Amino acid sequence: MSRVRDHSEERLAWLLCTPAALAMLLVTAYPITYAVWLSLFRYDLRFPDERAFVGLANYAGVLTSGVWWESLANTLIITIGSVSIELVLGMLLALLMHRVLFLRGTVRASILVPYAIITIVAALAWKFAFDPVTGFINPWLGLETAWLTERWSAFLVIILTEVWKTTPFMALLLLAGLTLVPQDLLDAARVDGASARQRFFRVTLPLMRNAVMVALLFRTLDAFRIFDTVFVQTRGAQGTETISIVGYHALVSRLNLGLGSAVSVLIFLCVVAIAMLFVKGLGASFAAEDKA
Amino acid sequence: MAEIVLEQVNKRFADGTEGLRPTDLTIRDGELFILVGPSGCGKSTLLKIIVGLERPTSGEVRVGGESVTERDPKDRNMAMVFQSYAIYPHMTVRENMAFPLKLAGVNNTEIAARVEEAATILELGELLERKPAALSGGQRQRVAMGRAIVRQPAAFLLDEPLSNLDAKLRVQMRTELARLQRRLGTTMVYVTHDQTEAMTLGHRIAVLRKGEIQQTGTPRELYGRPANLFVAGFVGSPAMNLLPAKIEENRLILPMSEVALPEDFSYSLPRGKREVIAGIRPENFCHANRSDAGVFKFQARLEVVEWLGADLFVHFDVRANTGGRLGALQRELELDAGHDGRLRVVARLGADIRAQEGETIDLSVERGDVHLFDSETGENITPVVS
Repeated sequence: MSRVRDHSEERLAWLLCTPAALAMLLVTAYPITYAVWLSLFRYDLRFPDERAFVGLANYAGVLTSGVWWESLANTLIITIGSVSIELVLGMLLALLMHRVLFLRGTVRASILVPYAIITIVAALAWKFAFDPVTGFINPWLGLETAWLTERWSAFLVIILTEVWKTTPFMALLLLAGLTLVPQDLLDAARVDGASARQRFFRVTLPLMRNAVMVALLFRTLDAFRIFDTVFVQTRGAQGTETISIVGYHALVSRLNLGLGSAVSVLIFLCVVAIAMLFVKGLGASFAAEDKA
Repeated sequence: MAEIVLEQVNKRFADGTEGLRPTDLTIRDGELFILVGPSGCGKSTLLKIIVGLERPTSGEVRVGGESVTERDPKDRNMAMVFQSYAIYPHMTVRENMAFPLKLAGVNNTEIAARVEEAATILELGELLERKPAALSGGQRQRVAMGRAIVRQPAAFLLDEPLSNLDAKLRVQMRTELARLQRRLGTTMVYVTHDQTEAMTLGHRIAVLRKGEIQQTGTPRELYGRPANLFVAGFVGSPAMNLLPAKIEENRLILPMSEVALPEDFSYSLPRGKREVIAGIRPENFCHANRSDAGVFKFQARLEVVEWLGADLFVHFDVRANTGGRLGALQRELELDAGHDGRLRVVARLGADIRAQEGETIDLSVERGDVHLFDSETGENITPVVS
């Protein structure tokens, strides 16, 4: 009896999902498949006549070039640098927002302002701020550094811009996790003899694990695909080129659709790998909770 | 081991509401002391002040003669059991129980020994490696108790520890708690809204209402001589029947009957005042047509008859004014206040009596079993029989 109902319910579920699934297929599966298809061809819009199926040659070309690996390293530097700083700052802000007793709405809204600013605008603002002639950072610090003309200082500016812009997002996700920790548990820990520090590391943080994982997942995926900030601030110069910029140059500047598609597909695979890694971690912690 | 003394402790919250009016209270060493009252009466606030989770606005808390008012909860050596149990979901039962000991820097051998001992007392041995999510409500409750007793604290504070359990388990755990407290001999402060729990468990009880202690005493004292209408209505199950009454020409007039008062009957009412509120416990009614002096006798038409095997509860109506102070109090206590000028009265009779709904039976009440309360202040004005 229930089995029959299960079947019909299942069919209904699929039916209800169909429109959304179709839309998803149209806007994501098609471009992805097309990109994979293109990546298997020699296809340069400057020499359209030379188009030919080359199998995995484009991938071999990308993976044997130093540019890919260097830009992948750059991307990882920016990703790890910005996400780790964001996690710490985001946690501090979340704690602040959680604790604040008055003007709660105002405090939360004002912390969110940077996130509401368009990335390009934020990137330009920080570029101007660090400009050796017109910027205010050098006079403040008593320096005469041309920040964006050297590799590591350029990384610093890029990472700072990212951190400034997306920490609020991180903080918001963490705040959601923080509010899920029952006050009773924290009270119990106080009575059990835990100091504020011990309460945070032994009770709050373990209970926020899933929220932290979700926040890290979102931000890592975002940061890994970084394009606009770098494009605006250095255009990939000074060895700050990220893989998205490599793909952009291949596709848009050099009009090499085959090679550019191969880069895009590789980026997609990296993103999938990162996502799977996190989801597996999350799944494990959910499973542990279920079993528990 | 510790005596807990509260001296003029009060609590005013940030929004200006007074959670607790200035309170003096002494909880004796080794006593199982109950704080009871309806929700919002300040009993949990009082408990949190004792443990240090709330700071009193003024006043002093002393434990074992030492002032702890300024101390953090972790420096008070008290263990608390929460209504939600508040056991850490990411730790196993063993880790939960070991947590306070680890924080206190107790060495691992000692921790293992104490956890094992507590697990044996609470029959948690099989469950030590489980996570809380895999435990039943009763087992979680035990873990919370276990985490409290491993610390060997100066006092246990329990905030409605049984209210999340089903009725049967609650009764069972209640007995176990009482046994545990006797075995450990540690001071225990127990908060509940359930008067049955309070009466069965407590050595002494404080009844709270709206941030104020109404009466402190043993269960017998509260039952035998409630200080005021609130305590009278709160203690006892089913609750005491409260009826408007009058004293006229040395006669006590109840809505259904009247009786002469003895010559030397004295009560402290302002001169000329005659309105009182009479309280009769359901168990003080008798099914008998007696004609002795000093006994109220009347006939009641039974509206509802409930036979419970050991007891027979009969419900009947009496004509009386159901509004005013009495009505308000009955609503506060969530008692059936009656309506349309009819008051609901319940009597508890012997189970051997055969009574039918709709039948009219003879009932009587001894004059000495009627409690009298000032209809304005609610104070008990029944003369004390020496």
